[in-house]
Amino acid sequence: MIALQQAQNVPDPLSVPANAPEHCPGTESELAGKSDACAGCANQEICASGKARGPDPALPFVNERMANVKRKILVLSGKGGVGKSTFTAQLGWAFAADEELQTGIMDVDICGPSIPTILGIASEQVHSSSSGWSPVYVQDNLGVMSVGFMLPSSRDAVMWRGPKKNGLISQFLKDVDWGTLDYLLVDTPPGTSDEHLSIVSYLKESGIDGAVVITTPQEVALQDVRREIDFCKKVGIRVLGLVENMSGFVCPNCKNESQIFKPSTGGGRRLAEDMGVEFLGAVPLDPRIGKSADYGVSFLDEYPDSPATTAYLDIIEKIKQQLGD
Amino acid sequence: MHQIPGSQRKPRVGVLDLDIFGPSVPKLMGLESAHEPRLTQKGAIVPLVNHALQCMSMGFLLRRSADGQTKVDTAVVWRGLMVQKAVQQLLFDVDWRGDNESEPGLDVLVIDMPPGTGDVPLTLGQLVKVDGAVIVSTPQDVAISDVRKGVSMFKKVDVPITGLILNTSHFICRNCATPHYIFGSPKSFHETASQVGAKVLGELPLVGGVSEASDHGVPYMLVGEGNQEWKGTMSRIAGEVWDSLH
Repeated sequence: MIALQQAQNVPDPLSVPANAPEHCPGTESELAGKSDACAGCANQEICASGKARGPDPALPFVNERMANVKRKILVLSGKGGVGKSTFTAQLGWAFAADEELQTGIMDVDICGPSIPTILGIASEQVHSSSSGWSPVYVQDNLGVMSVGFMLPSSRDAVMWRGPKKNGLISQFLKDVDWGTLDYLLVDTPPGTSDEHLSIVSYLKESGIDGAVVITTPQEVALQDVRREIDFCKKVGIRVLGLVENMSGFVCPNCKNESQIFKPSTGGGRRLAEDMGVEFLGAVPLDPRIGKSADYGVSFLDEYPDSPATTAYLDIIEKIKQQLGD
Repeated sequence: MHQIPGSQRKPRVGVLDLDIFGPSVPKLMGLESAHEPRLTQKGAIVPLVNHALQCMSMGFLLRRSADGQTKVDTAVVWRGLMVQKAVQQLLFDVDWRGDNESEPGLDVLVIDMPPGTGDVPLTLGQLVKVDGAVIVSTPQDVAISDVRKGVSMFKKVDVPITGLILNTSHFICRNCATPHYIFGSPKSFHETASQVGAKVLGELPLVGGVSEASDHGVPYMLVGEGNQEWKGTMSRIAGEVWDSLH
């Protein structure tokens, strides 16, 4: 039978090097350098001698950069396609509306980096200087980093296994010159894998202020949200709250409201109650949200009268309250 | 459901859920409270059956708590290496003939892939000869750019692209029957399809009943009545996919 161990301890992301063979036990493991899989690996001697076991040299650099970041917020979902990246972008726009605040968005969805498109900067490139990589600025106080800027074309697939993705995430954290930030928003891919574990590990010392979890009303999405909240509890991240996206549609023609994605088990509100997390709000479906995202403009600025805008702004206020800002 | 040419028999179809982190198949196929899968004499896993489809998913293998209820809410927090192992076991340690070795196997195995172009599709492409890939997208540009990546990826691992499907293309207001393109116009999708040289298999409208039926564990195709546009399109797509495999 499949030996399924529930991962009680979060494995260290830094323990499998990028050039490791298929069944690398991990440099931190007792079998490091001594397992059958180690034969032929360039790191075998180092692992076997025990020198590989030790803190990651990248960590002090990450801590140094993150010391200038006041609040770090993760945006998570269980399922894909619920509107996580769109929400992260609106959150970024909303924080950046206050010219006194400096905001950064870090897109660690390496396989499907959507943030550059949604913010209208898809064709930009990353420049580097002596102080590090420079984020791409949407406006003076809103900087962005994403693997999307580094690909020759949008149709290039990034087909990387875990260790290589971890390497890039570590670079986003230690090599990007974010400057002093009030808010760093981290957009994640769906699920609970390498990228999530890496972010949590690298930011363990500098601290994550909280996670916002996004869902849609139907049970199939909620299932994955419960898992996501469970993940946060396991790794010790505070859940700032739950956002229910695509919650209802008002026909612009006849004003009739339809629940397209029926909340057959009570939707996000009920789940938030059950799991003891704050329900931040429900955002209705508005075709102009997707359109703004495709054109790379701020939906909140373009359509201030939409009920979706009101919903977003209320949610963002609640997030600030939760953070104590 | 189609007939196999030259015989009276309907195709034997299986569904394999390779979304290790967000396994939805147990819920979608109404198998959430099913018993734990049994093993054959040779130690292979027997798929669970519902709606005449054989199903296998990570969701069936998650450890149950003491009271026997499935721990569906527990996060599977694994690194790539463990994901690869799990995918290998789901691909090679499942006996699709069921308990009975003399039963013939499947005609078609439909594999539900997780989003992205990471460990799972790479492992699948490297270990298995895949006969076709159907890529599902929604209308907005951010989804379509991931379609392009998906197409690139499948070309790299030599998997033929059967075609693209546009999901949630439009919503018809029940009250006034006006179509609304909630997630954007289908134009980008069609342009992308012709740019990457992939066939458009069909466009599925947003139908509230689909998510409702899914939450209750019944595939929408089997719901009585239901939206005819959706069902008709789906039937046609199934026919085209079947034809492309033979």
